[in-house]
Amino acid sequence: MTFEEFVHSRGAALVRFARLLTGDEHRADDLVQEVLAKAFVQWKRVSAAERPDIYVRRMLVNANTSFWRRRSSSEVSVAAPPPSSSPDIGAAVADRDELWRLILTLPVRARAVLVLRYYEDLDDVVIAEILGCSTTTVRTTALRGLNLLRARPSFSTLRSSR
Amino acid sequence: MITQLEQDLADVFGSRAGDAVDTDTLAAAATARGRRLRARAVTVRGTVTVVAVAAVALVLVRLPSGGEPAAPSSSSSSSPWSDWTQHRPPGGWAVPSLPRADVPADPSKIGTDPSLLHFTVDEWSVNSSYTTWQSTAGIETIAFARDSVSYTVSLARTVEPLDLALAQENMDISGHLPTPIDHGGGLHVFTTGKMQGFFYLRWQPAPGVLAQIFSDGGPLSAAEQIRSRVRLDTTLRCTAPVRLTALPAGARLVSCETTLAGSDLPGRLLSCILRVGENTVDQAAITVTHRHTSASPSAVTPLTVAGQQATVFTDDQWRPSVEFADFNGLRIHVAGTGSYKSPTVLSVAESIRVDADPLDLSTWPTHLVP
Repeated sequence: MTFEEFVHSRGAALVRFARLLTGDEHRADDLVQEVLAKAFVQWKRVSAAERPDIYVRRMLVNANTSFWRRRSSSEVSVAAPPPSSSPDIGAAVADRDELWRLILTLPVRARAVLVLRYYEDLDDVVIAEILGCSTTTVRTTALRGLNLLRARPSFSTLRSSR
Repeated sequence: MITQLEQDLADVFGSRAGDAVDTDTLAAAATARGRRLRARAVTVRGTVTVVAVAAVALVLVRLPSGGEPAAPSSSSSSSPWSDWTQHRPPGGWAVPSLPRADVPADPSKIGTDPSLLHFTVDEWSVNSSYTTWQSTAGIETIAFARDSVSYTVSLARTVEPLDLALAQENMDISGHLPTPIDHGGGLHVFTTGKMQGFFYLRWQPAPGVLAQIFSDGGPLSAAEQIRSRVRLDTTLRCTAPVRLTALPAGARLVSCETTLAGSDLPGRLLSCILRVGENTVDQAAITVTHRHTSASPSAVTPLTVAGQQATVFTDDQWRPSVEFADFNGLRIHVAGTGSYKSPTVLSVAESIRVDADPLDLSTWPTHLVP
């Protein structure tokens, strides 16, 4: 598979994955470009991997983790949610926005696990391969992420509003 | 059974993943960025292929530069220079050495002074198509290539910088235990199960010093030979064809990296990267290449900096940048990160001087910052 073929077949999924990892559309675009540029330079190695897609997603997760490590803070970059267009669906949209904000407060690794599990619908074995850890670590990270969400004060408010 | 929260997560992720993606644009942008990565010849970590070096060198040799090899008139694909890294010159590869520092050898100071390297790799770093020397906080590295295979030798006093160096090669070793091989002295070899052909060796060449060889495909026997040529009795001084007359308040030299060619190319210089700043985030990176390497700022503001024509722009990594297209024969790109915004980047650019002859390594300054 050539680099161009890879980007055409997997690029969209990578960008969507990056949007969920970063919570910022522009940062996601930049992150994917950065990772794909690196993959381009070492395409011989990437394409030699058993599953290049997993390899590149691992690069993406590592690049995002490095970014936050460099920032050395818990700063959260969140695009402002669009205003609700209808009072009927406003509450549901607000709930989703609030949950999204909570997700973005999670540690980057926990967020990556939840995205891979509940958006990409990957099993723990593949997630472990992408993150370079054991399946036990994946399970405990996911559990910790879910518990962190439940423990947030605004999560209780979110649930009681239903 | 899936819980309500898990269902909500799936819904939120689905709604937040966004709209369609233009993969044509993405492929074009990533390819262009990848090519720029290559052209900048950032070879120090060994991730850039030898072909990338050839691309840089091709640009160098195809353009006129006093007394240097004539530019081939044929296209790059048929140029005898286009694959120079594949064809050893008649006299053999010969990368010039960095100047020796006038300080006693002291391996305990590895990673403490970015202007120095406290080790050498006999023969292999000379008999190479290119060699990169890099010194930064906690780790010193010499990278070179032979037979289209790159080797990176790193020395550090703790294991963390060595792990980080591997991670930057996308060789995440967490969760994998190295397979020990019996060479004595704690030598380990690691080969990922998924990526055959890439390995590292790690050993302790002196008390309190850790050494590592990373290769992207070379034979283990070569790594063994390199290991036997790592010497700690010589201190080298990182050099570049530029110097800075001033630094921003609180800044110091954070990292020095120089890449030279093993073939008789103009000036031998492939690239130098100096980083000055307060830490690994708040800093300016000064990248120096020959003026003929491509520059591609799209939206630029021309002005005069340090008496030279320069452009101010935001580069493809969103960094505030100043670029000199031709500063006494050199292309110099200054980019800031962290708190180093345009005014600081401009002040760093203002302090750059090119007193040396870029084509004559012996004239390059050995003290790069005040």
